[in-house]
Amino acid sequence: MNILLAIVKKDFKLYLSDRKALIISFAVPVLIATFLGGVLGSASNKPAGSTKFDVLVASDDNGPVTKDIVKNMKESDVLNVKEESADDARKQVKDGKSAIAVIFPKDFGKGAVSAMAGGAKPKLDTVTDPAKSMETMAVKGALTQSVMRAVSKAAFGDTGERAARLPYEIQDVPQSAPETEAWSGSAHAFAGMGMQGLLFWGIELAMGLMREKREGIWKRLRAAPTSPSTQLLGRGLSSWVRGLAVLVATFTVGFLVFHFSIKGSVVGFGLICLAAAAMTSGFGLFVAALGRTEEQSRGLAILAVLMMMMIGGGWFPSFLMPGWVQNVAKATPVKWAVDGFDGVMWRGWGLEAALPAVGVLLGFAAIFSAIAYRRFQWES
Amino acid sequence: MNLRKRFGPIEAVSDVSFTIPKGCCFGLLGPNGAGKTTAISMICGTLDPDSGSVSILGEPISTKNPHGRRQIGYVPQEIALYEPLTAHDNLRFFGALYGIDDNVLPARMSSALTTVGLDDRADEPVKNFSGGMKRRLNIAIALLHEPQLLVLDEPTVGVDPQSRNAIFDALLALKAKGTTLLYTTHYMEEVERLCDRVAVMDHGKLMAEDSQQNLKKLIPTQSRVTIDLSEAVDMEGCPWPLTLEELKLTLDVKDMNADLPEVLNWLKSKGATYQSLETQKASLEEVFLHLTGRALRD
Repeated sequence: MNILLAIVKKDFKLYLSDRKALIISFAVPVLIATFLGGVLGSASNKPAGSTKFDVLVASDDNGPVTKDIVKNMKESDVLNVKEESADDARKQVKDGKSAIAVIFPKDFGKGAVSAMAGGAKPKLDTVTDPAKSMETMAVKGALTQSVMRAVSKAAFGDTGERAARLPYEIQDVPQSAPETEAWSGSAHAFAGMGMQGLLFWGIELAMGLMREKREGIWKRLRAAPTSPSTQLLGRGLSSWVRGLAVLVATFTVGFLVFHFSIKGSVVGFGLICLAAAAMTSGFGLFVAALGRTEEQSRGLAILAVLMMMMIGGGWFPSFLMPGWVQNVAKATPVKWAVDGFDGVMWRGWGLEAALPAVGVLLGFAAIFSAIAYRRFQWES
Repeated sequence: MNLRKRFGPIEAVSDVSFTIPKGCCFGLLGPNGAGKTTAISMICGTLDPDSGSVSILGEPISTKNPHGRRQIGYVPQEIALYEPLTAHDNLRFFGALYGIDDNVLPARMSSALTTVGLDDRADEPVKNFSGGMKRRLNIAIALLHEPQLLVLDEPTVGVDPQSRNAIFDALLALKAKGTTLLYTTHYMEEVERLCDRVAVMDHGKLMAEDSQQNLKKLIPTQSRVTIDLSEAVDMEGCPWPLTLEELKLTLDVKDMNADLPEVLNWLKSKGATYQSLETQKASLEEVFLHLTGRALRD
């Protein structure tokens, strides 16, 4: 334990000895996150070109008009309709698995046709994910078209005449905690940039190890009466603590400047921070173990980090990407970390909901570290 | 004993065996690429041999025996220091790695710094040190845990003469204290000045291992007389092997005390006058040339 502490203390002294690098390491993620947070803070997201949007449909109305509306929705070029029960639909939106659910109340069809003749407008429930407002807007547009076609047909027959006014009112229920909370673009930006800062820390850990090998310090460390695994563990530990500091500093600025907060489990948030920092340390050791030269490894590692950030939703929400990219994103730790942070910060996830992200991040940490241990060139 | 190490097709160390008596300064001599550093790595337990073994005072040394490595103080060829940190911070860190108790460590650090003459620079960042000072701190770190064997892998590479002298003073002081030293270099004069016993390595093989005196006996010419003649002289009938380049005459003699008066008498008999005369004993350089057929720095 004393040896591990000595390694951590030494690394901290080295870290603190370069003031400029120290400031940069904290300032870069904070500044980029501040910029993106400012840009995304109140703005919503955008649909991805020709991608079809998933929509969940639950219907308590067995009437012909509503059936026709659902049929129109299914035939739409922009919608992927999946029928669910109302409760399941609500849950899937709340869990972030779907952007919007449309729930037709009993006698909605009749009410809508009656509204064409001046009767009261029936309410149509939509359950939406505030993080995906542009996606929900696009779905609502296609929904309106489907309703208008079906209701006009029921009211006027196949004359081609269209209703002049909307025959229903949308009652929108955003699903996040608290339920009135809008998607926090700034919280997302800080989660993403915090992860980016962390991963760049991982690269610095790798470069430090490779530099020590090049400069012969590693030889001296290997000659000491400590095991190689202790040496690696010490380095991983110091990197973990420093990464955690970067993450905490980044979020603290976000909490203070952008006033977002942890709406869900604070313990869950803490665990995701710990797991994300551990994953990053493992990533650093992994890069150091596989790399041959500093220059080559730095370039490849930066490319890997940027790719993970891009497809994992670190910069922009991953649902803006095509479906196959979203599937690939699940294989990146960034996706799990950012989704986890989003979940506990503004979706209001409890500890239980946060645990899968923690588990996956720790899994990545274990895999990276195990490969690093096996592949590290001890006898260089 | 019987150390062997192969890297792919190259046998870096081939059946090398030697014993270093306690308190001895043992020189491992050879050109770059001779296999010295590979041998040193195996001796220090940072590299396992393909076959053979290393032990210090009966304790086996290997990568899997951290306790064995505690017997050794290793000074790598490179300046293996954390330059942004102070000398004290470097010593404290490496001291902790060797498990030196916090109560003992300050005294050990002070003693090590005094030995290498850096006690007045302890709190200065290493990056401010000259190359020679860094080399000395490199040595001080290896002394902290008071090892049974101090292994120095080319500790004076790239050092100015003044710093080299300071390093030598430190090493001579250690030798006087009875520290066992294993010293590798390709600087012959360093070995001649410091080492009691010398091993010559080339192409991974141990060519010879003995005291300096005995090694020098391996070469036929023990001494050399170099004379700057005032004018050309007929050298026919000269009883000693000679070379003559313009007016510079070199004679190889076996026993300087017996042969030098005869050389002078013979020159007088030839009517030769000279401007200067220099005598030189056989060097390890010549031993190396004799053993390997090439100069040490080829």
